[in-house]
Amino acid sequence: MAVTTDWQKAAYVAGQAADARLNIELETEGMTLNIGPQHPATHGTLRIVVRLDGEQVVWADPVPGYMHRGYEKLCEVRKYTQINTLVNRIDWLGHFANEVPFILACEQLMGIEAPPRAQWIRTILFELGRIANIALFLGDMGVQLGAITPVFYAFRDREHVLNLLEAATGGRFHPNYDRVGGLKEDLPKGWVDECKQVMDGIRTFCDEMEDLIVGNEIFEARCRGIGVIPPHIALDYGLSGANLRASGVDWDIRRDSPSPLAWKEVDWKVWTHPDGDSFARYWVRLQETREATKIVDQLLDGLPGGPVMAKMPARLRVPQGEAWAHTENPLGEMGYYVVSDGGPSGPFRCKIRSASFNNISIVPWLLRGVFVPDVITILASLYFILGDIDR
Amino acid sequence: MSRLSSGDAPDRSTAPSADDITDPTLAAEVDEAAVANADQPSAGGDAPSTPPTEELKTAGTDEDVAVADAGAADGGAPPKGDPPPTDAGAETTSDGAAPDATAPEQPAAPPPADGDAVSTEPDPVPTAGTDTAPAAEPATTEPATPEPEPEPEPVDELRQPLIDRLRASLGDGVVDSHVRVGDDAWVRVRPDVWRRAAEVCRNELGLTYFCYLSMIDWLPAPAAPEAESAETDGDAAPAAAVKEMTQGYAGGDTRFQLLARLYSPARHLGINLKCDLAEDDFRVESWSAVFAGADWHERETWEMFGVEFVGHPHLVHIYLPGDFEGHPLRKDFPLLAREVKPWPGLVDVEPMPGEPEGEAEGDEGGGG
Repeated sequence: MAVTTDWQKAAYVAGQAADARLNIELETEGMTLNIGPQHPATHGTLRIVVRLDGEQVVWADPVPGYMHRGYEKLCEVRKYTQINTLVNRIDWLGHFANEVPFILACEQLMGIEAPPRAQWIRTILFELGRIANIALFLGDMGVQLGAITPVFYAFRDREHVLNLLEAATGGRFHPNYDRVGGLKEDLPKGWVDECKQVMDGIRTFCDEMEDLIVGNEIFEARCRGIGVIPPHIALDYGLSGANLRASGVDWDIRRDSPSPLAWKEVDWKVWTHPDGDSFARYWVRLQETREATKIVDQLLDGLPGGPVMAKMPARLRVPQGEAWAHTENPLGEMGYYVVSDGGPSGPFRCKIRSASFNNISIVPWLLRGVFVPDVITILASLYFILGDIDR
Repeated sequence: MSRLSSGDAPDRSTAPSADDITDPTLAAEVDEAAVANADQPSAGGDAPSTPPTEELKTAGTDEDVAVADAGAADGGAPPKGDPPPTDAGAETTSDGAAPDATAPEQPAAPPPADGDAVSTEPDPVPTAGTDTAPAAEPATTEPATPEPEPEPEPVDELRQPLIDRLRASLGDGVVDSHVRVGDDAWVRVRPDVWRRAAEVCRNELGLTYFCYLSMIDWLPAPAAPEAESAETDGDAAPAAAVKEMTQGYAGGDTRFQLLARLYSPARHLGINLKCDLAEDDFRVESWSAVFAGADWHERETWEMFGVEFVGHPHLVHIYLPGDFEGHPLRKDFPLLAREVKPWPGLVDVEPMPGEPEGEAEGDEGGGG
């Protein structure tokens, strides 16, 4: 006897319509999610707005700038020696490596050359910066995938590198050791032997990471084939460093660009990987860390004597000109384009080309169609430092 | 394609022969320039060797000549072993723009510590502009080898062809160029071919790596802060702070100049592209269809300088909050910290016991 009256049908239809309207207002069809700016996986204050359809990303929009400190504007009102202090803080994990390209650009402008011992020590410290930075990455990528143990080993073992840096320069994270024309002062006594021991320790650490992580089947399942970047896309976006080498592009500024530093004096290998996925990026960085220890060992063995500071005029005159200097920083290619107007103070314009800015610009393209857990994997494998993105 | 001439021999009517020059310093230079101009394959007019003839024809003034030589003194690149760059001569570009306009007041930067003997010649600056008639002075200084034998002008075998091909594709879209031999190359293009230049570089020249894109605001800094820092330095040359706007390599005509860098990872060389933008037509085509990475760089450049990139998919703020007003990297945008506390900032130092207050310099806005 349940006859549906017209009135009931009408009410039913009205109810459905009301629900539909509510669904649209609440946007239950897709979700916009903020990853960050405070998030353990974003290496700092990076905010990524992702639009999700279920578990898949429809679009992703990174919003950098939470740590924008206005470096380029600051450089215009600072003297060269002051800028040296500032730029330590761009890629704060790769400490000394930030100073070097800036000092090289200044030396180009001024026509000054640092003595060989200074160049070799610069190279050693540069590679130590690479080791410290990438060692943290090796553990950190594990922890972002859920493998908690390796990151403790990473912090423990890179602590020795930071101790070395502190012994030589006085600072664990911000050495401020490079000067136009050389270095602030020479290395302390016994540093060379200590450094060799630490390099042995880092090699052991790399072997541990290889055992723990690279062969782990969960790691492989989560990283193989995730976030593949074809090489031509990588070049278009200006990816650099291990990100580019993991896509198969054989380019390393240390080997391929002329530089007064001592990389060409020693034997070492550039590692590339053809796959271009997250696993490749991890693997390349692991090999590079090992390679860096070998570079440091050779440099320590061949360290020339002599002064660490060139004879400089009492007053630094920077002639008018423009200089570009770039180096293979731990995160990628870092370069400074320094324009001098011949004035007595600092540069006229200092364009800082930081690696992570380009590395992260690929995220909107890379994250389309990716599942949410893989978003974290990809971000971890691209490896950026916020100071490097935001300057 | 060559700006020297269209296949004609360079005009030698005003250039000296080695017999005419009596000054021994100049004689060596003249020899080398003569050899170079005779042998130089037609280059894009920007190889270091070509300016002499150009300048003889177009500029031929003392100032330009002195400028060129002064430019020699400060352009030396450090690496001793490499062929020392002769960017000096080429810095005064063939259209007469003199980037070192301040050089006469700043005669040859005091010879830097090393690399002196190799890359700079302290001598020519005073003698050059004064001794001989301007027309007789070849503006280039040789890679300063003390040997008397004339060396052919170095040509950058790798970079010069790039520039030549760029000229061939863009025609007169290429306004100027500059090569620092063995080191780097700069090319200045017109705004209407800016995007086409990117396409040519990427597709034809193999410069597939997008390094960065930004801008330079050439407005000179205001005088007051320079004077203050000069006092702090005890520096005797505050006049070295430029008052008139002078652009750098490859010259420039406007206050704002786009600066971009492309690189070829396979051939290990790069090119710096510049483009003058007029303020009343402050826009240019976007590169984002050519290099995807230009997207963010153009956003940042717009945000910091205000230039509009036509065709950019999403030209919004990248670093600064969405409602930020102004374009911070412009020279007339004040640094807020400097407004509050002018340089030098020694204002918070407590006076020593016994010293009267108010000795702190620049103490404005109260001692806090």
